[in-house]
Amino acid sequence: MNDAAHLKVAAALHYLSQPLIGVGIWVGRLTSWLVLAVIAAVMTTIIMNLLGMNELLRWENSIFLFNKAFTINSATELQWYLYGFLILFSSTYALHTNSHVRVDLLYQRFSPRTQHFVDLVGHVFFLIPFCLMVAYLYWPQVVMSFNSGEQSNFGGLTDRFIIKGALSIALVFMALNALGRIFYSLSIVIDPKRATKEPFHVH
Amino acid sequence: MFIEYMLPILMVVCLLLGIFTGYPVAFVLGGLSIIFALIGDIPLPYLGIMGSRIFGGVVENWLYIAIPLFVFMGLMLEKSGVASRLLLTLQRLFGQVRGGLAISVALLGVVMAASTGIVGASVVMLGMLALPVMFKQNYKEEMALGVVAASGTLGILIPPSIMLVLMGSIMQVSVGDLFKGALIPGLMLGALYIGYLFFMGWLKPEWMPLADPDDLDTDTTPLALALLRDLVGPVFLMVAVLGSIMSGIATPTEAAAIGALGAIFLAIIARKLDYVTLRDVCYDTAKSTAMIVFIVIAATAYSLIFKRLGGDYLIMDIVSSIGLGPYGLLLSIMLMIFVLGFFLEWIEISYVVLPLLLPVITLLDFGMTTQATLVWFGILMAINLQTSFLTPPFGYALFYLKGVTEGKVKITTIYKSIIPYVLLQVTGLILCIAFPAIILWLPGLL
Repeated sequence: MNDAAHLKVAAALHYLSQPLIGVGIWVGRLTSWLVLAVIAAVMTTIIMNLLGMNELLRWENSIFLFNKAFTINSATELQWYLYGFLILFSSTYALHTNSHVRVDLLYQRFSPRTQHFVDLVGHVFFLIPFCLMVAYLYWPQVVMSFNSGEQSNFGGLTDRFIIKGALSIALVFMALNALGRIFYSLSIVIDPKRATKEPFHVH
Repeated sequence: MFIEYMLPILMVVCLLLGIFTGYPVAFVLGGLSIIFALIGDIPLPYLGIMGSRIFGGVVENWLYIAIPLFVFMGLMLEKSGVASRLLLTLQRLFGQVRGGLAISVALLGVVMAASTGIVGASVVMLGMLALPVMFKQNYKEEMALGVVAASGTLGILIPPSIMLVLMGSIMQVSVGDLFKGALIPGLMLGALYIGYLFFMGWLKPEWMPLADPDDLDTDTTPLALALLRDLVGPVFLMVAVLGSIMSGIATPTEAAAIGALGAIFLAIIARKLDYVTLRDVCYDTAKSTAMIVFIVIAATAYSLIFKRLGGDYLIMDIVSSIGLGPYGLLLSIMLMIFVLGFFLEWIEISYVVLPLLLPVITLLDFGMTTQATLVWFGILMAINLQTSFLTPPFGYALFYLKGVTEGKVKITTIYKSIIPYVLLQVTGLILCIAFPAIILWLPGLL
């Protein structure tokens, strides 16, 4: 009877972990494509520079991020807005694909259960506190940026809070995904037989 | 000294213990920064800097936009088959020379070097590409493994190198100067490898048998045409990227974007660009970039706390207690970095250790300008790290190589394979220390 209970707990944990991990992979794959946008933004800057163009487009009403014109400084700053989103949200993706470097001298000799246990403890004591702490510490700056309407000093992009906020939000998102991995790893620590059926990470 | 510096010392010990559990290094760095901030009772306003440092240093860093672009360029050349076709053609070119295949691998390492810039990635790429071919041709295991590990790690040194982009940002020296400084030492090491392979081909021809001519003739294109098709493109791309950075026409970011676009064109010309390739390249670029950048993010936090706890004075005290002249000090620092390279990737070393050493290095007097000293030191450190990644028993590259061979090769064989290259590396490093001109001539910093 007791046996069945712990299997049920493992199944429940596994069930809980799936949407968290799934959304992390989905968002990460989506932001992966931003690298193409970064290339395009840099190329736009190069071309405008070569042609000596300062302004590509100008319009009447102030719009989000671009204000009233697309200038060479908009293109330049767009590069790092895009790059920022790319790196911040793909960290979570890399978590699920096991792309973060490990010194696996000992780790590779551990049983899958021990490996999951190491990750579990690590996420609880290292990754999640780090992500939440930095996100929390940085949040006042995001709020300040929003309230003061911080924008480019060179007529580039407006709404600087978007990219600043992305740092805090991406780290909270990372912590949530680490929670998903904790559930997942815990389900295998409780029910080691799962390790043979389930992959450790996706590709 | 130990009581006074208990916390920073403990922080280093915990880092080493933490990474040996196999938990990702980046997360250990980040977690320790928070744990030690609490233990050290660091006031909250000071901790508040952490977020802005990370934003300013990593997200808002114009130079780092080059990282995903260079990674993209390398992966595109690899996954679209441009790299493997280059290997095949080089092999035809050197087919009838003893050791020709190994020389082709070394050359491929130099040309592709460039791109990925992460030790693991380039060793794995070169290994997957070249090892099956070499084993099929009955190469002695040691000969095949050694050249892959050595040429794969050469990539972190030969520009355009991501490591040098990061170092430039940390040391506040021009990336163009670092690229120029690394070019001659990098090519020199490549030449040393090739010289060694020629020599071994002559000394032990049975270790590196020639290919069966029937196997080579699968490609019926005349050699000259094949060279034009497979070699000229990638070489032109590398020269364009490097040339534009070194001549100062383009920033590293601009050159990297042109390189990425060029790689897409080469893939289109090779008729290998489809949705799946493009998607995989984007996914893998994101993963590699995230891996690098997250270490940088976490290392920023770690070194901030380490310094606040007195870590920088600890380093200063250690350095001044060594009490040697500039060269003695340089050698001790090199030795320290070499040992660290056993445990850490270049990213952590550049990010955590380099900033701590910078004040010491700028004070050393080698009879050159500060700028020259920094460039010289940076490149020496790069060569040193590359050597460290190759040195048994802990070399990073060797573990990746073991991974690629899927356990079919004994780790002792890998150790044996690498010894000649480690000796060549040490030779190169000593030459660069003894004759700074090797590094400083091209950037014009003599």
